[in-house]
Order: sequence, then structure tokens, then C-alpha cells
Amino acid sequence: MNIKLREGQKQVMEYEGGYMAVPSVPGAGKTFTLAQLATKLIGEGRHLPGKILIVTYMNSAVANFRQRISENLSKAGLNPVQGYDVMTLHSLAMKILRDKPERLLVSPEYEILDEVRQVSLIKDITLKWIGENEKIFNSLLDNKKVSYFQMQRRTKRWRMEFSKMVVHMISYFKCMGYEEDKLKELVGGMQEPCPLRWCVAVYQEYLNFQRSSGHLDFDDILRGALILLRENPDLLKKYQDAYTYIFEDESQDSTPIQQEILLMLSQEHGNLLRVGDSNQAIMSTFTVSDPKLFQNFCREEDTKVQSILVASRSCEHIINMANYFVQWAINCHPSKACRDALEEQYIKPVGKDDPFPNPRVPYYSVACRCFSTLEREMKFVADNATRMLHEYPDKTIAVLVPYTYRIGMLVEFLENKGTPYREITRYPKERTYTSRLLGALLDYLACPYDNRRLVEAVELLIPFEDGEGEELIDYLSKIHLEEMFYPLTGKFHSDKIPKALKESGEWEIWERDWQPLFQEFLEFTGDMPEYLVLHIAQRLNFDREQMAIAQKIASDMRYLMSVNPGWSLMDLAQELKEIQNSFNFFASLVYDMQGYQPKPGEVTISTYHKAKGLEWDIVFLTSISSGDFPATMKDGFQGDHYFLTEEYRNPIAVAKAQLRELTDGVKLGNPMIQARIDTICEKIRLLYVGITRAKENLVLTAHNAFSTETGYIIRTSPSLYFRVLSEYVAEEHKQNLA
Amino acid sequence: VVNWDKEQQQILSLPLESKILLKGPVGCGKTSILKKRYLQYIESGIDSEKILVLVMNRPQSLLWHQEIDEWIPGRVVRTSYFGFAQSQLTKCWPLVLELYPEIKRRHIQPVFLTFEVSQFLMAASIKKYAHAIGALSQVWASTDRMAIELTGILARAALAGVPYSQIGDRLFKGSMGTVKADYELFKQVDLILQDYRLRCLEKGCLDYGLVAEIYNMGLLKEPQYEKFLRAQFTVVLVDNLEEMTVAAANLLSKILPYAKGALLCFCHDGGYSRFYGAQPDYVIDTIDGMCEERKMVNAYTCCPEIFRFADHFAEGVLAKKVSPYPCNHWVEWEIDVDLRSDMLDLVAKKLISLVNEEGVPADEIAVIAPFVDPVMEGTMSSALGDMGIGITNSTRRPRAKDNPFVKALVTLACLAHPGFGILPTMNDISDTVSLCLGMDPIRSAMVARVIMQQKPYMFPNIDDVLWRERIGFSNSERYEYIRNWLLKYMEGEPEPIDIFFRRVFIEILISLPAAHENLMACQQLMDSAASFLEGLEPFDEFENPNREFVNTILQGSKGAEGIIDVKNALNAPGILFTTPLHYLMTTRNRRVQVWCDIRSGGWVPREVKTISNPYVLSADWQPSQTMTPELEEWEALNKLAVVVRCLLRRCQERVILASSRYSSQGYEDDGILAEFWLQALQQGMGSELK
Repeated sequence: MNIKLREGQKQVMEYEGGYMAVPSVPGAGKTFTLAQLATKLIGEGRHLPGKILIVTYMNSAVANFRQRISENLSKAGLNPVQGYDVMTLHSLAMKILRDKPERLLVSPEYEILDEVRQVSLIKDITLKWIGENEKIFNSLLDNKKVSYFQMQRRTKRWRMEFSKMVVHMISYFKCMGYEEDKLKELVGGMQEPCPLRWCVAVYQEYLNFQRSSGHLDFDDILRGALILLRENPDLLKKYQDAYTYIFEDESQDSTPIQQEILLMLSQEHGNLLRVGDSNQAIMSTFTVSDPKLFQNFCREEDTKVQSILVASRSCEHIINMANYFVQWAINCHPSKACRDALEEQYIKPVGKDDPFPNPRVPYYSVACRCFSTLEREMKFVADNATRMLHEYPDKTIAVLVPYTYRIGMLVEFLENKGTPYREITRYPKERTYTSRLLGALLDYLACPYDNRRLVEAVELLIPFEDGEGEELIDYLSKIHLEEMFYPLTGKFHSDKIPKALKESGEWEIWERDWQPLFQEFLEFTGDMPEYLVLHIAQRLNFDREQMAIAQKIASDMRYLMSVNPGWSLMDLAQELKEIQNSFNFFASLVYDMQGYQPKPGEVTISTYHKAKGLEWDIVFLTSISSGDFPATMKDGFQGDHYFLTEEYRNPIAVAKAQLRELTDGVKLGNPMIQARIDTICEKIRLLYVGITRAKENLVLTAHNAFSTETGYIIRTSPSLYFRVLSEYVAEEHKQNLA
Repeated sequence: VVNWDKEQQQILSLPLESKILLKGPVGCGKTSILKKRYLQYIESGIDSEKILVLVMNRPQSLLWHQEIDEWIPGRVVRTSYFGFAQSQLTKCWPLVLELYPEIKRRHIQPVFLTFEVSQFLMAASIKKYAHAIGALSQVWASTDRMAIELTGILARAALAGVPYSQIGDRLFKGSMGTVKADYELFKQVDLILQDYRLRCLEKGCLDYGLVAEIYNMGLLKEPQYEKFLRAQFTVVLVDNLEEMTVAAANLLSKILPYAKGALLCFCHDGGYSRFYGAQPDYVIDTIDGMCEERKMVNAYTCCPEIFRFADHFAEGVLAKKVSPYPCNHWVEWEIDVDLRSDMLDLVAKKLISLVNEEGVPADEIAVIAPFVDPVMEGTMSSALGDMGIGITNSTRRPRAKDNPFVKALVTLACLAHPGFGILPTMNDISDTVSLCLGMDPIRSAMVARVIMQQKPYMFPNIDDVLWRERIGFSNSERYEYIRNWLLKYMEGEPEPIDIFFRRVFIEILISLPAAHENLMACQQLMDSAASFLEGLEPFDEFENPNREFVNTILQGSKGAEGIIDVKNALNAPGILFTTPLHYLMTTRNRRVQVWCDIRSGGWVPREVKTISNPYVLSADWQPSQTMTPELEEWEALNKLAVVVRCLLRRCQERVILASSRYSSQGYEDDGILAEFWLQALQQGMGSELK
């Protein structure tokens, strides 16, 4: 292999076996190094008779690894598909579970309850539970000095938040291995009101449903795989034999289950290589992942630690700022408890002779701006992103926002300016299009006399240009549809059509291209709905991804109809139209397989979380305000609910602390304080991830107020980090000018 | 006209009094010889009713029927083991009543339960014990799924001659090596099985398992019956002896010693029905010494190269390592993609090119996949249909309610019986209106909406002139007729549901243009309903069997399969889409086989399930034996080896492989078959894989 390796990479490439930890900074080329190493080991035949297993987090990373390794192997004249497996932990767990489900008394025909269905099911059970225990449930509300109207709102909000809490806690119970009976026993003696106890009650109901219907959720699959390996030496041996080497990517996000599975599997050969960056651990507050697992692994006696600190991604200004932020957090963070949020690990630029040097920018390329409102901030970002898109047509641009729901406003500004954009969120618009379109079509076909439904389908289906289609839509929303599609006299009287519509030419196109298509679909309704979906997909010439989604929808339809015998086409349509339905979950998978390559000429919008592992030339980091990036105990915290009584303000933190006390007898101080510390630490890392996404230009923005959906203006302030970094930037800028 | 080879001629020239055990590979012409032999017996003057022909299943029987029956003057006794046992039990029911005092309902004939009824009854037993003692509550499976497993267990044990009382114990001991063995769990299984069995027995209602049990372990052991059996037949002909169960072997061992002539065909590389209880070794041991053994070696269903490769591959599977084989001029694996939808697309293109460019007749191509799901069928039929190429899915038995006439019957049943408490969906009502009134889908939906506004749902009285005009009731007479029919029916006592269906069909649907072509589906519905009611009738605990039947149909129950369906499936033209077992069980043979989804685990279906384990219920299993993981793996590989060998031996020219990394559900497929193919093709074109 004729490739120039950097400091750190070289040493990793010398790896032949054993336990190794590779802490690496952002942009260190982890994927590149792992793919090279896998190729080298396969080339030398060291993996035989087993394979190399690469475990990663996201499906997009799976596709990326696979592609790189197969290309490397092909170049080396080796079989591109042999010698290695790349999978997510879920795929690995599923593989293990599928091997012997009966050993866990799970029917081999088990159904998988994907995240969306799981959440909706738990929500239903929770609401039922609340209905039966309303009084005690509401007793946690802080109703002092509030109006009736406010109280109603608080009750509603608490129901919603409690449903989310139950989802979180059930996952926590499963991932931490709390058995059902044990939990019941533990909470049995607890005094009411006790949200932990309520969660256990819903959990039991949920488990009853799961067992009686043979449904497993993702946590069950992970846990099931772990138990199978723990309790079945034959199965463990089979997988130990199968994988001579195990590489784990993004180890800082490992969970206790993941770590245990990988450690067990690597026991026989003792070849486990884990790559991670503790400073990019951003999953621990809402999953059970724990960056300490990787840190502890690094400290193990048997572990050889080989860092990769050299990175060529960002220009010097950005590297300096990221390093400054690390240094500041470690030495100056006002909360001492948060000073270990980041590890003292600094990014080094590559050497001058490197064939891929760090970008060089002739001016100081970091800026900070604060705005009076969120709206103004977003407008500024949209304007400037658009401007840069035109000024630097060959550069890639991204805007990062803290939460998916913030995307809407930005999208509106970009759309108004006609700026092309792409979302990398869980359910971006283009990905949900297929199920929305099919949903709208089925919805209409289920109620074919309904003008509103027809219009909805037409608007999604027909690609009207700006200002086009209004006449047609207006007409379609009024006319008796049976007369248009099936005139009793055999011919539709065209004299009824408004003149303007006729003259616009839209009617002619409708009559020629679209009406017959709708009619064809209408006449298909008598047959099985799954065939109808396939037929529609074929007639509308769906592209590759859309076809995959349509086929998944068709195959799920039979299942949905069988578990819900009373369902009609209309219910299926509703299911499809729900934004976060399971089909979109599948859609994410399909689109993720393509991987994501930033492209010049469009603005990418992503959450900070989803941006991990990606890079752009120009990055806007938005909403660095105290609510979104809390830095002190006085800031706002997402997990804290103002409407609950003082001692239960963060019910999840309280419940976890209670559980810990019940099992280990460890009594923590104020669990809510600890939860805040954890949040602060994670937000520090999240911001660090954001900063290190940029290659050449970085713009940090914040706001002082935002309005809620109901129109309230909420005051906030820029986060402490924003202020600290602004000062740093101002100073640097000055020096640069000098 | 058949050109017999030397080997075959030798067999056919053996005296008719011979009792022959004929062993040979797939495709050596055993079945043809058997048919010829049958004709020889007939020609020699033996009454056809005296010749027992035992075949594997209905499709096999049908193949015989098409070639033989028109030459036979009398009744042909050709049957599967199960059909035979049923007929014998019916004939000797008084004797059975003497043997089984547990049968309390002493009617003149037994009631044979359909699959739906036995599953329904088993589910009732499960629920009873789940409620009483929390039975099976730790098992992650639906009641329906467990009901299927448990009815299967009983049948499996009976066919293997294992007494039902041993089932729980065997399952428990067998599971000790693998599952976290739970004695309580299997005691619960025993309780439920015994409850179910006894309830059925008391009422004289026999499911598949009880038929096998009573015939194999009861009647067949009675000297009085044995005499009767001997008197019935003088000649025995058996096809696919290797696919027969212990129970069938027991039957043969009673008949053969007294038969005047016999020909038993045994395919030595068959045995793919082990999953259904076949035990080839046991069968051979049982009839050992009763027949003269003859062997054949020539095979005609595949070319010599594929024949050899089939052995190589199957042996490799057993050894868990298939060594590379120079087979790339007739095996290709170019389709290996991420998404299943892409795979289907490429397979469709490949099939089109095979037919249109390479000139392979569609009838000479089989697409074999572990599951021929609606997506595969739907996608292929539209892609190939556009090119004028037809397809046949030999595995699909549509849900009864997918037929528009059946849907209308069931919907009208719900409207006419508000007491069922079943509310049909708007689509069902709309489709029914559209069918009955010949109305367009939009106006039908409008009428459906109005029907749903009535409480209970009913065709309303339409007085509103404007509304009538909008709907355009050119056939308002017909509307009134249906409405009045329903109202009149509802005034009287409700009829049994099969009678209701019959009346609706005759009095409402028969005048519709498509009535004739849907007659069969409606008839099957009525037959299913009648059997369902007959099956449940003896059990008085079910409040409303009529409603239960309608529910089973709405929940997607398949229609009863008529012989015409089997015939149509067997003879349908076009590219055949089928599963491996279905392909083999219907003795197909094609020039090109396209194996789809070869990464799917479905190629090695799981046999050990949560509460059932077919291995421990076989005759050669020692009751105290434990199922080890190694043994389980060996059994699975053995089965895969048998299936791939048999499949390849039924392929004349070419095998095309296709796979996708992710299943249609988006989960990674990692079945073992793909791994073996990769090994076999390593030297050939494996490296060209993307």
C-alpha cells in the first residue's frame, strides 16, 4: 500500500493483535485508518479462519466502511467481500438472537417493534394508566398560584412528559438489566406519589403485551443477545470463533451492554481495537451510553493506548479555538464538577509535507454574532448562508441547530430566498415524501368522494411551479367528484369548467395525464391494498429509494391488517401520513445506506448530534443560548419541568436515583443537581463537536429571546460559552489584524 | 409414449407378484415406472379398488390423475396417508368407539376438524390455562402462534408413534442441553395438550393429530381391523417412500406381508419432508426383508455436471465447508445488492432477458425463494406482465376475503347480523355496494358512508330525490331489493352462516356478471363455514360459532383449497415462483432455476421453537436424550444439504443466484446458504461480486 500515514496512524497500522485503544481527535481519519488496517490484516491472512468484525453506530457508517474496505481489497487484488463484516450493534445483536431465540422462550417468528411503534404503544398504555390513577398522578403538579387555564395546560404537559419519561425509563430498565419481578419487589414498599413506581406499573403492562404478541423492541434485542452469550457457552464460542478481530468505532458512545458483548466476543482471540474520542461523547443523557467505559478501557493494564492527535480537517484558526475551548473547560469552567467534561487532548495540525495539509485561510475565519430574537438569528443565518453559497460556489455549507423542531423556521427563511437545502435530521422532508404521498393517495382512495383528500393528494403528486395550479386546485375542491370521474351521462360537461382554468391549460393537462391515473387507482381499490401500493409505485415511476420504501409499506400492510382486523384503507392511510411512522424509520435506513456526502451548492441543515462524523467548509453553529447550552446551575434545563413540585422537577433523575438507592443502597445527594451537571458536561462536548465540524469558516450565533408556539416571548441569554468564545474570537481577530 | 432405458425395462419386466423396493436418485424415472406398473396390474385384471396407491400429497395425486385415471374403468384408490387414515376411521368408527371409551359423543361418524377449527380450539385451551394458572405466560409468542405449534406437536408425535403422555417430558428432557429448561413450562404444555385432546376426543372430533394417533396407535393394532385391512387390498404401490412417516411405515408393515404384489419407490437422496415428520431410515428398517431391493443410477432431470455438483455441494454443506468448484459456466451470482427492492428489480430484468433475448420458454424457468411474499409476486407480475410474460405462484393461497364475492358475502353477513357486533370497514361496504349494484367506486363510497351513518349499519331508505339523483340510481330497484331482503331476513331467526351465504349467493349475487367465475370461491367459503360449524357444534362453550367463523375470515383465514386450485396451480403456465419445499413436493423440473434471497435465513427454517422441538418427537429419539447444539446444527445442515441436492437435481441447465444484504424489513440477512455458495464459487466468479 502506497499511502502516507500520519503520526498515530502509522502506529495503529502496526497493530497485529491484543487490546488497543485509539483515542483520536476530530478529523483524525478514523474510518480511513480502520479500513486500511482491516485491509492489511486480511491481506496478511491474519484474520483466518475467522473474520474481522467492525461494529459501528450508524447505518451510514456501515455503508461507508464497507465501501472503503471493499475498494481497498479490490485494489489489493483480493476478494472485496470476504474476510470482514461491518454492522451496527443492533444488526450484530439481531444476528445472535436470531440464532437461538427459543432459548429465551422467544418465538422464532417474533416481530420487531421499531422505535416508533414502541413509543406509540407505551404512550397508549401510559395514558390508560394515568386515566386510572388521575388523582395521584396530578398530585405532582405545582398548582400554586396558577389560573385554571394554566393548570389545564400543565396537566396536559405533564401527561406528555410522563409518557416520554416512561419510554426512557423502560429502556433504562431493560438496558440496565432490571428484571420485571425484581423491580416490582423493589418499588413495592415505596411511598406514593412515586413516578418510579408508576413507570414500573406501565412497564409490566407493556411487557405483558410484548409477550402475548411476540414483539421485541430494540432494547430486548440487545439485552437478549447479551443474555444468550452469557448463558450459552456454545453460542458464545460460535461467535468468538467467527470473529478473530473486533474493531469498535465511536467507542465513547458505547453502552454497558455493547461493551460486555464485545468484550465477551473478543475473549478468545483477545483482539479488540476500540477507537473513540471522549470529547465527542454526546449520547449519555438520553441513552445509557457512558464515555467512562472507553476511558476506563484506556486505563486497563492490558490495553495499549495509541492516540491519533494529528488532523488535517480544520484550518489553524478553528483548531486553535477548539483547543482553547478544551483548555478553558478544564481550567476555568465555573462549575468545578464540570471541569472533567473534556479530556485534555489537543488537536495538532498535520506536518507541512503532508499530501493533504490543513486548509489555509488568508483571513481570520471565525465570527460570533448575538441577536435579540431567535427569529432574527435564523434570518441572519439564512441570509448569510445563501450569500456564501453564491460567493463560494465550490464550498460546502452547513447550519447546525440544537433540536429538530428548530429547523422549521430556518427552512422557511431558506425557502423564501429560494436557497437549495438538505436536511440531515431523523425524518427529513424528502425522506418522508414517499409515505406521505402514498398516505395521501390511499386516504383519497378510501374516501373518493372527498374533495379535500383529492386536493391533498394532487398537491403532493403534481409538481406545480410557483403560482401554478391554483385554478385547478380551486376547481377540484368544489366539484362533485363522481360527476367528474364517472359522469352519469357518460361524458363530462366541459362547459362547467371555469374559463380561467381552461385558458391556463391546466385542465387539459389534468384531463390528459392525471385524471386517468387517479381513475386507474380508483378502480384498483377492490383488490388487496398491498398490490395497490405496488401498482401506484410502478405507475408513478418511483426511484430506487422510493421503491424500497413502497415495497416495505406493501409488505407491512398485510401485517398491519392482520393485527388490526378492523382497519380499513383509511386507517392505513393515516398511519402513512403520520410523520414519524415506522415507514419513515425504514426510509431513514434506506437513505442512510447511500451515505451522505456534503455537496457544494446547497445548505445542509443538521442537528449538532447528527453532524457527528461529518465536515463542511463553512459551518454556522446556532442557538448557543443558555437554554440550549446551559453552563451554570441557574440556566434552564430541558429535563427540568417547572410545572412539577420542587422535589420532582426532574422526575427521571429522581427515579433513577431512587432505583440506585433501592438496589445498591447508595444515596446520592440531590439527583437533580447531578442531572444538571451531566447535562452541562454533555453540552460542552456537543459544542466541541459543533466547532470541530468546520474546515475553513465558522460562525457562532446566539439569541436573547424566542417565542413559543402559543406566542409567548421567552427571554433567555447567550450561553456562557458563547460569551467566552466571543471574547476569545475578538482577541484573536485583533491579533490577526495586527 | 415413454422410451424406457435398460434399467427401467428390467424393473418393468419383473413378475407382477414381485414385491420390489426400488431405490434411485432424483429423476431416475421411479414415478413413471410406478405408473406403468399400476397399468400393468390393471391390464392383468386386478380390480383398481384392490390396488392401494400411497402418495405424498394432493399435487402428486393430481399428477397421477391426469396421466392415469382416464384409462381406469373403476375407482382409483390413491391417497395420502392422512386421507387413507381418515377413510379407514370412518369405515371402522363403531370399532373405534369400542376402543376409545373416552369418546362420549357416540355418533355414527367422527367429525374431522379443519385446521382453522383445531387451531381455534387449541387457542381456547391455551387461554383457559393462561387464565387459570398463568400457563405459558413467560413465552414471547401470540396465542395463535402457540396454538399452531401445539396442534403441530400433537400431530408430529402421533405420526411418529410417540404417546401424547410423553410429549411434555420429552420436550423438557430434550431441551436441557439448550434452552433454559423449565420443567413447569413443559408441564403446562402437557396440561394444555391433554385438555385439548380430551375435549376433542370426548366429542368425537378428530384433528390431524388425533386421526394419526387413533389410526396408527389404536385401530392398526387391532387384529379385527388388520383382517379387514388385508381384505381390502392385494397390491400396494408407494411413491416417495423416503418422505413417509413412522405411521405410514407401520401401515405398510401390516399390508406388505399379505400383498400379492408391491412396488415401493425410494429416492435415496430425498427426505426433505423430515420437517413434516418423514423418517426415511425408520421406514426402510420397518419394511426390511419384506421386499426385494432394486437400484437405479441414471438420472434424467439434470445434466451430469449439475448432478455431480449437487453431490459436491451437499457434502460440503454437511462438512460446513464447500470447496471451490468449477461451476461458473452454469451458475451465476451477479445479483447481490443492498436493498431487496433492487434485487427484485434486477431479477425481473434477468427473467425478461432470459425469455426475450435468450429464448428460454417461461415455462422452463422457476424462481425459488424461501418466501414468495406479496411484494415479490406483485412486483414480478407487473414487471413481467408488461413484457407479456406470465407468472405463477404455486405457494399462494389467497385469503378468502380477498375475493370480491366472498368479501361481499361476509360484509352482508355482518350487516344482517348486528348481534355479531362486527362492524365492516368502509372499504368492505363500499366494495360490496360497488359489486352488488354495479356502481362506480365514488358513488359506492358515498352509499357506504350513508350505510355507516345508520345504527346498526344498514342500507337506508333513500327518499331524498336530490341524493338519488346525485347517486344516479339507475338501478334503484336492485338497491331496494337488497335492502328489503336484508330487512326480511333480520325479521326471522338467524340462519347458520353457511346457509346464510348460500342464500345470499343464490338470491342476490348469482345474477351478477362475474358470478360464474367466482362460484368456486363462494362454494369454498360455504364449505369452510359448514365444516367450521360442524367442528364447533359438539362444543357447547362457544357462544356464537357463526360469528367466530366470520371473524376467522376477516382475520385473514385462507379459503379451503379445492382440488381445482391444486390443479390450476400445478398446470398454470408462465414462470413458476415457488419455495424450495413446494418445488420438490410437486416434483418440478426446470431448465433454469433462479434462487432468490439466498442470504435469507429462510433457506434453513428453524425447527426448534420455543415450546416445540420436532426432533425429540421422532421415533428414533431416546426419551432421555438431550438435544445438543451440535446435534441441532447437524440436523439443520443435513436438511439444507438434502434440499439443495434435490433442487439442483431438478435443474437441467443453469442456476442463477440473487441476493440482497438487507431483507425487505431493513434487517441484515445473513443466512448460511450464501456463505456456502460463496465458498463454492470462490475460484469462479466470486471475485466479480460487487
